[in-house]
Amino acid sequence: MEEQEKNRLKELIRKFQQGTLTPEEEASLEQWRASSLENNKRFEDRLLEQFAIEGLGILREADEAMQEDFERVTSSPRTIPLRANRRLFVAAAAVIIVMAAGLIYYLFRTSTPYQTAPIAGNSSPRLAPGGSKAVLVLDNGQQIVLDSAANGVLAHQGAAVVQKIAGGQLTYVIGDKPKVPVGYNVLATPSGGQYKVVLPDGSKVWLNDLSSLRYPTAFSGGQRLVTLTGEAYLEVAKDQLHPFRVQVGNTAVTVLGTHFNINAYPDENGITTTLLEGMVSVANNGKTVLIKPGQAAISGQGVSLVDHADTSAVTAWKDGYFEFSDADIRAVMRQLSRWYGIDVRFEGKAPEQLVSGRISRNNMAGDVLSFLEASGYHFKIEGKTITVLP
Amino acid sequence: MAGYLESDQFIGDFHMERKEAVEEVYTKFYKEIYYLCRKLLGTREDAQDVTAHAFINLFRKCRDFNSLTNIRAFLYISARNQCLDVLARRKTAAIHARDLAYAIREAYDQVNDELDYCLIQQLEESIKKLPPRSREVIELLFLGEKKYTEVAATLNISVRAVTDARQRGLSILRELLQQRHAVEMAIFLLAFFW
Repeated sequence: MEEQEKNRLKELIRKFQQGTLTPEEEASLEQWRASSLENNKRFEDRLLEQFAIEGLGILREADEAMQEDFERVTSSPRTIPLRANRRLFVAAAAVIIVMAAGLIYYLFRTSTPYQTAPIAGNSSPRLAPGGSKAVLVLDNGQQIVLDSAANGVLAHQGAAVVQKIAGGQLTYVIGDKPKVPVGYNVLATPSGGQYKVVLPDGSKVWLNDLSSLRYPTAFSGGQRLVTLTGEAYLEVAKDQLHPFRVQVGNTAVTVLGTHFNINAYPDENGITTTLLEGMVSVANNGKTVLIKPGQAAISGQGVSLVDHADTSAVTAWKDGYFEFSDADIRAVMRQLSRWYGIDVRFEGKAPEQLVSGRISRNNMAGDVLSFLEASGYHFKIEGKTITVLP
Repeated sequence: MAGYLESDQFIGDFHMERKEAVEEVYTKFYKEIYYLCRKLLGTREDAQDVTAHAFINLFRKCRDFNSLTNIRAFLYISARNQCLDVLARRKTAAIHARDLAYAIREAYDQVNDELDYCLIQQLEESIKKLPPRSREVIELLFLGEKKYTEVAATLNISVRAVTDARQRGLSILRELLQQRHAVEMAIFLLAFFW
């Protein structure tokens, strides 16, 4: 009786709130309520709870919406229709992103390559490894090239002080100016660049090469919302009240506090979210899965679950390693291509044989290729183009 | 910034469409206007659009307003009218006339909406002030809409502890409601003896 009655009651209360009770149902609800003080209290409690859940939910949304529209609404009092405006805004944002990408590309392609002593007895090209390189785009569009900026305070962004500290790291420290409007910063890495940022809430994000992260200079809404392209490893600071959400393409990854990796390079197969600790939910195309530590979710058109993910190989990059466990050579070459800025081609069919092993990302490209050659692959090297032979 | 919005300086700045003044108004009223729209329209997208519109309309004629009260009243009226437009448009897109009638009645019940908003805001603040453990439970229950057993498992506590915390959260709300009734009663009495 217990469970059944509870469910019936829930249903009646739901209908009561929607105003869809039939007269019979209304009578039976009344009767149930009147039958004991305890029942009446349960009924009231449920209504109050519904009121709280709905209201608090709306407040959270309001926080988010307020931030989203802040710029658009306050900075241009004379703008006209909204819908068109929104599209224009998206188009403008796209243009800016493309321009920024171009600039980043230009900056990094023309900077002097990193020099190291040649390794004796190696005939492979000396394609230099990457390092701590990134560009920070401030709220006003100003760009700071981080590898050449000195350590110390870089900027004041809203309530936050942005500091560059040793070891390719940025931190945001919130000062005591709580009511200043929130701005957005973008951290972007070039090919062969990697960077770490500590966000205003204390969450740490390692950004892999050819990636970008957009985040507010202070988290003030109900959710902590960031946008990612490429690949990142995140250690999200615990805060039950403010879920942390990573928007990657049309996939949303929501967490409360946990460690996980997201790989969303456009040339990879879908977006892979791999969990090391805690719990996250991955939503795409109206489908949501919860993943547990050691599992991964692949999203693109919907979401699918991978039961056993090799978390060590997936996150090796943030500690400065390439790590492969039974990896497809094409996947391996995609990683090398991003890190060393090389073009990879395949002559004929790609070898079927799988790659396993671990090697430092500080090696020259040639050394990594030698390592692969030792596992039986063959390459042809012409300038920045590497061809994998069958 | 205390008092800026009430100062003459502010109205002057607002007439000049100064950034600070415009931003202060936006931050001060956004949430309550959004709350109203969301309640009336039921979806986030429409609520966000209408709210933004209300502010854009306001900022187009900054010169017309001589006090914060006028500004707020304009926002409410403008948002409400647009909500009704949206609802009327939806009606043609096949929604029950009954919903519309209900929404219109609601829309004119301004005092209620504003008080609801205050209540929820106070609830949010009160929850923030609770000891961390109860706070966590209540947040998961009220914000995450999780089941008692799920919350108990997540936080590794007994179901009993969860239901206790829920009672605590609800009693805060009860108390706030009583205060609100007192306010309503006062308004009523005031009107009566006027």
